Amino acid sequence: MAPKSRLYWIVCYFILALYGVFTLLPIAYLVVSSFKTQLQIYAGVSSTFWFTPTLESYRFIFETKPILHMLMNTLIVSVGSTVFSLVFGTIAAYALARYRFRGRDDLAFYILSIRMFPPIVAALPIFMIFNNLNLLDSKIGLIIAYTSFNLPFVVWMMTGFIKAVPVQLEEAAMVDGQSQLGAIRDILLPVLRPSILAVAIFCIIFSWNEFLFALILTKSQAKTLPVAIPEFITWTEVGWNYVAAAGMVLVMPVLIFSFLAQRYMVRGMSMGAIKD
Amino acid sequence: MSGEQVYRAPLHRRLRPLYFLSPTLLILLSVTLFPLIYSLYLATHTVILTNPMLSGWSLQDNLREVFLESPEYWESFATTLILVVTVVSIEFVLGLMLAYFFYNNFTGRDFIFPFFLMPMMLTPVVVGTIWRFLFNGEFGLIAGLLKAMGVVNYSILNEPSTALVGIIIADVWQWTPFMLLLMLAGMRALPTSPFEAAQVDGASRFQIFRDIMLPMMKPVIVIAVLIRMIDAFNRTFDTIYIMTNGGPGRVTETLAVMAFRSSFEYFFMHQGAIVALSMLVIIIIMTKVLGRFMAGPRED
Amino acid sequence: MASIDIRNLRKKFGDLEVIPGFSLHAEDREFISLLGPSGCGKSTILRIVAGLEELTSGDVVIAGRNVTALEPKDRDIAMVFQNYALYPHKSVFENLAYGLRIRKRPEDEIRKRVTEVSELLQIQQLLQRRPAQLSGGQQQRVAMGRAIMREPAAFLFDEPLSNLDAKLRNHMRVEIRQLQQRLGITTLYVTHDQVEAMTMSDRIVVLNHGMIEQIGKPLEIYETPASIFVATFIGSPAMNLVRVRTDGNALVFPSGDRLSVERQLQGDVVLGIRPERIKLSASKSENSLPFEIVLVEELGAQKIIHGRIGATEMTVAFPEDVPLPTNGASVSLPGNYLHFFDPESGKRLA
Ligand SMILES: Nc1ncnc2c1ncn2[C@@H]1O[C@H](COP(=O)(O)OP(=O)(O)O)[C@@H](O)[C@H]1O
Ligand SMILES: [Mg+2]
Repeated sequence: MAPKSRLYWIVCYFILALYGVFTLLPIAYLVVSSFKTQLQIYAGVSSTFWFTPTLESYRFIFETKPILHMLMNTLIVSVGSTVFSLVFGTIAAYALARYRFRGRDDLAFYILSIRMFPPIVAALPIFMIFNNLNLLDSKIGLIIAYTSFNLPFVVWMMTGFIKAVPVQLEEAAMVDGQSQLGAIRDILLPVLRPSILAVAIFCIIFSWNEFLFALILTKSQAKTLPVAIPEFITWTEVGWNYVAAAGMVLVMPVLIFSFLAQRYMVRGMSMGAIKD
Repeated sequence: MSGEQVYRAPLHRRLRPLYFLSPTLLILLSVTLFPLIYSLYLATHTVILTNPMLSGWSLQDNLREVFLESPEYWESFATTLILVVTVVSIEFVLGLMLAYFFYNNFTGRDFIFPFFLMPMMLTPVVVGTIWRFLFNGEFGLIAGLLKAMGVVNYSILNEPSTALVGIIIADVWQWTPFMLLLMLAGMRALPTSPFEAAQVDGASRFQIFRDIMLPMMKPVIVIAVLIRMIDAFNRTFDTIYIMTNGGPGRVTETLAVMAFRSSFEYFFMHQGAIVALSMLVIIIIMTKVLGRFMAGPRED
Repeated sequence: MASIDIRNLRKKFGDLEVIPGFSLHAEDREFISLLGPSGCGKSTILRIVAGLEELTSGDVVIAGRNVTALEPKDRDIAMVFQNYALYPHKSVFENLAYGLRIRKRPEDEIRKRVTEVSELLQIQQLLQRRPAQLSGGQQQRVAMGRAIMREPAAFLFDEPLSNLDAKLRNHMRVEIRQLQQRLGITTLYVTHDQVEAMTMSDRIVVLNHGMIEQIGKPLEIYETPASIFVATFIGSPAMNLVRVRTDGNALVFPSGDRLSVERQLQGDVVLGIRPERIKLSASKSENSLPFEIVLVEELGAQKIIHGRIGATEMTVAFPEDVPLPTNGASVSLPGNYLHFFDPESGKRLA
């Protein structure tokens, strides 16, 4: 496009800078608070970013709460549900993308529309079934629940991605002597790898961050870290430094992970959104 | 063609798509159909966990109780509506504006962009916590800044008049990046020749944006707004739970929070079920109406 | 002996009957083209032979074995796709080797075979590249190579040249035909390009709406098209067709001009004559018709002359080196090159 005026750039940079501060300040506030003592929290605005950092809060929360245990739960549940939803979701997407059958489009729409099902509608009934099946406070229970939340997203995204791969690739493999499942394994899945990775990242982040069902379905054994955060608050309303430290332990893995995998995520997200 | 042998593929081959779909369908049916039926049962009976003596069919009583006898449902309805409309509008405008700037080439763009996306990766509970403390009247950063401006110990979340504003700010902070991401992806997918043609025709930068770029982005805008609307309606639970738990009083108690509290705090299961089911009805109407209104006649 | 037999093939997509009934016998080593306009069902037939599409009824027999119920992998065929369908994540070497790897052949046999095939197709220097790093022509060669790796019972080609530019297409045409003759593998070749069908095939099957209009050797089809559809589809520029009235031994043009012929015909007929068979001259002679020249296209090797007999448009192909008559042109239509078709059914009149 044509060159832009000086004023345009000034306005552009100014707004970006302003919004940048708005975006980063709360995160910075979380970071610095986690390295403070309780006293330093009360020290006033001027010393918000000017203080002697200490790891005291981290030491305290790890010693008094089973943080590591909950972190492991969060990880296991996230990875487990992501694996299941990817496996089931991708083969379902394959059927929707590669076969024509009566009711296919209605089915695809049904699966997508579950994305708008209010979680709160499912919360109580699922609590009741899990209670009957002895799945309360178990990691398996949470994995099942999160798998079902991720499935519509996985099916929807993967259907688009699979449709974008020419079916002739698999057909060529079948003519070459491969079975249908073999062609999927040898040709389709390797070609789809970047897309699968992008979808997987979103599933992991979603499960990692999920709160409502973790709150309802877990007590201690399977409790994930997000559920522990509000407990920290009621426990020590004055101890923002401890809550901040726990929050850091929870969000840092995701932030680091998403920076590393950023290329895939932006790509996956953009492609999914732009296709109808 | 009579008497001709009609070929049938082996059954297992014809059923293959069904095999492929069955695990997904089984899971999804069990987490939607069963809860639906169960909720319907709850909604039509009196179910109070703490008082098992009360039971039996009572649809009319339940409906009267929720929708007529107290204004709570309608208060929550209004709160939800205000919340959804405000956050989605603000996020859309901000996201579009930021995307328009990021659409430019400037040095450092690809470096700073991921930082702008950070909030949407964060755990909503942690986001709620951060804002709760930022707004804290005693030591929070924002209260501190207000104090420097002469307002003493003002807790945004503790005042009925501003609590919802605090929730809205937190939501806008977390989800504007999502809009930014989708809008930018949409812009980058556009062909540039129409912009060049408009430029040759003498259109101003703003005219090009309004008359060419926006209409071309309509499909992405519709999807982004719909997704955010559904999520704001269904899932703005975690932050509210952490920041105010519906208070002070009930000013931030959205329908989702109301349903949760009815079921899991007061154990009035039938109330919770009715509120939750009403949300399902609202969301269906909302997407149908908005989908049609915004998409207009199909253009492909 | 690897003949291909397609018997009473029918195919419906839901309620849409795409192939209402199709039978074809291809001899061992024969090169048969399926020629027809886009959407007439050529690919569908080919994909059914490959086993990629289920058929509604009928049988497919390859090398004497009824393969109707077999999966593609068990049919011993090779196929070249319009978009080549090279595996994007595999090198050229691995693309070629894949079929043998599935069959768990020893590594040194695979190497030997890839070397042979790549030398045959002159793609030795490309073996380590990925498909994305190849030009269209090179991709086409690799796709060919993949097809011949296993020496299958039959080749199936689905418009393999349609994504190439004109020059490369002419070149590959010759090369594919030579290769097929050298390897002696029975071939079904789908195309909508009549030049490809004419130049490469032993026999051509002309298809229209999933039905066979004509089967025959290229020259048979050119010389004696079985219907108006075939007549217009084969040959360039297309055959001239005029609806005329018969009057005893004479054809009466819409303009009133009369042309006497040796045959006895009745009622209205459609008269066809190829542009290259029309004689154009300055002098009016016995049994010639007045011809008004409207536009001349210079092609180098010949001129294409568009003109009229009365109001009837007519195209004439005229050798380059003969000077064009300036005024008062006339055309004569040699009797042995005239075709007659039934105006209702479009069929050739015997
Ligand atoms: N999977 C399908 N479902 C429904 N109709 C199809 C399908 N594949 C092809 N068709 C229809 O069958 C007809 C023949 O298609 P095709 O064999 O691809 O034609 P060609 O290769 O001669 O261009 C077309 O009308 C096409 O629309
Ligand atoms: Mg075709």
